[in-house]
Amino acid sequence: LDKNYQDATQQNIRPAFNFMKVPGALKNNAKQIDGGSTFGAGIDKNGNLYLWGTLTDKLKAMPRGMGKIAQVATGLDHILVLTEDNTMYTWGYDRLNLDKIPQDAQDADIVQIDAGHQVSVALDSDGRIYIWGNQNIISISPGPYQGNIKKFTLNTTTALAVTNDGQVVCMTNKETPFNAVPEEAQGRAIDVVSTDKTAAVLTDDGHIYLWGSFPFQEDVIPEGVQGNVKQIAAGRGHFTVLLNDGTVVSWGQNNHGQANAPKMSNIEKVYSNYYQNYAIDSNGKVYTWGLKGYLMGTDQYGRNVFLRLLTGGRITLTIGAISVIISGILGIIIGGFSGYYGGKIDMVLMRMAEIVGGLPFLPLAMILSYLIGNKIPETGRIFMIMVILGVLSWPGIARLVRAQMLSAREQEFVTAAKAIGIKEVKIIFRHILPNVITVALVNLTLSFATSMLTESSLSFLGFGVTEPSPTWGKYAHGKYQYYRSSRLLVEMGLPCPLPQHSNHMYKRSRRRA
Amino acid sequence: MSILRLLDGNGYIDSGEILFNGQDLTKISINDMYKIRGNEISVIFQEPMTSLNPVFTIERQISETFMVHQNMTKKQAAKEAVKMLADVQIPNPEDVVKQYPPSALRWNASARHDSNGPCMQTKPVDC
Repeated sequence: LDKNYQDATQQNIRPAFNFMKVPGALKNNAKQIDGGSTFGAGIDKNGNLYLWGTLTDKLKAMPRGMGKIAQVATGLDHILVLTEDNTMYTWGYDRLNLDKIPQDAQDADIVQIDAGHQVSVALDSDGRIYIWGNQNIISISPGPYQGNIKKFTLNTTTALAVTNDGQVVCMTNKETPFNAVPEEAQGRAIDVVSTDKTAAVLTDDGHIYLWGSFPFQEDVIPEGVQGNVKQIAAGRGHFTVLLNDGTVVSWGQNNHGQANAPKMSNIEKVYSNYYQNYAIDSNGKVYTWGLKGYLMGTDQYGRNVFLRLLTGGRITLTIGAISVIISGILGIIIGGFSGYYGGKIDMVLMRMAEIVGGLPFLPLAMILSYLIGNKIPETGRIFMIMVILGVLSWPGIARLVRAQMLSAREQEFVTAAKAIGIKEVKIIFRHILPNVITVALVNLTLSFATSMLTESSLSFLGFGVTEPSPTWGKYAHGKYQYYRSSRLLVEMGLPCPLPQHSNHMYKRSRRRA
Repeated sequence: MSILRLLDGNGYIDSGEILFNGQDLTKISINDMYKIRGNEISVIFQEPMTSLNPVFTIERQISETFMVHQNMTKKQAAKEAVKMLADVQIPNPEDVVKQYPPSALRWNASARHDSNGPCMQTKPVDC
């Protein structure tokens, strides 16, 4: 798991697997499809619009009476449609003027629409583009090419366009990695698409040329693609191409299986958005691959909660186990000496145990991790929590072992062991301890659970393991402010008791044996 | 028990001396006493049910003495333990050494119901 992974487009998604659940009515009758971050929109051959996936309330509020839809475009969380009578409608995210379609755009003869991160762009038949919405994230300016644009594409940072004379241009007045368009493609371009970091131009002879940067080895184009490309589409880190023989090839980023194109034939159109892919064949049948959704949703940074819960369990369980081992060793040694020798040694050791036992645990752990915690790296911090937990929780075990020791040392086999000349330390730990260890072990398995919970509460309060390392406490901390419903209860309630239950089963099996 | 200083705190030596092989046992250090205990002087306990440690096998309890006092390895001591049991005519000594005291006692008591009491009583006598 990449601890530093974040994805602004996948934040706070509810658990579901519906991102690509195309409605039955559209499934065999599709004309055009576009996908947003967590949802999809499609038009059937009769001009009806369908939405699916994880939709916000604003996205669900589709305007009525739009008539027949000709084109649909979906952005991060808004939708833009173009009807057959050349009117545009938009809904979903509505701030930053995203809901205000410019009047000159409404009056123009629009041929292409697209929606990006809080921005909408439309192109008219005169080659003019219209931009509205938030232009702070994406800076688009057609500059000298206004009136000469044939086709355009949006990505998370900029917009690229193909002009009427086959030139590829970057519609920005800033210096971006996308400005360096490959020379050999200029003049022959018929389409341009772009992921977050890589742009691709398709030329009239079916070749593609890539530029930008290649974080997911996008430049390793699979064999049999060059010269055969009919159409190209791009998600956030992967490319999908439709070849002349009607098959589809995907490559690039594959963290959600978005580059695993299934075997298909007779495909007419491919669409890639974010992590989803759609392909429509000549009968209008829809094929999908890529990200379906998340078992337990995502957190406020767009990270997969289920994966983090599993990884977090590893840290939480390690902390529990190590701290229990520390407190077990300390408790058994101290309790053993104290119970066997009695008298002054017992007196001193037990007063010590009472002092340690009397320390208020949580405040102390907080102060300690506050004082030392910021000066040491992450692993040291985790280690420190283990030690704090272990060093502070031995008195219970020690008292238990001491009590058992007190009765066991009066047994005759102890005198017998003494009578054959065995030294006292050996008697305590080799002869008596095996007789009393079961009680201590049972207690240790219980305090294993307690240690885990204490780690969770420490991390929950922000004094334990820090971001971005996942632990269960962190998980609860990250979640509780977003939903105070039963969901957190269920999500935390499931994993936390599980190790304790398995612990208990182990304990029982040991007792039977 | 008192000679070996095995009594609890309430038992003490008021006066006099205990002579053993020319040594005064009241004056030697506890470390020297460890060497005498079990090697030269030992105690025979009457009740095998309590004087044997229930969590160790018979083998371990008998061989421990050899390991402590005669520096035997674990294997040698185990062999010696079987020999000891055979010497006091316990049936199947090889099997008995692998058992834990409670089951060993039960097994032997039923096997030798004609003898006087549980035969394991002999065990602490061995050395």
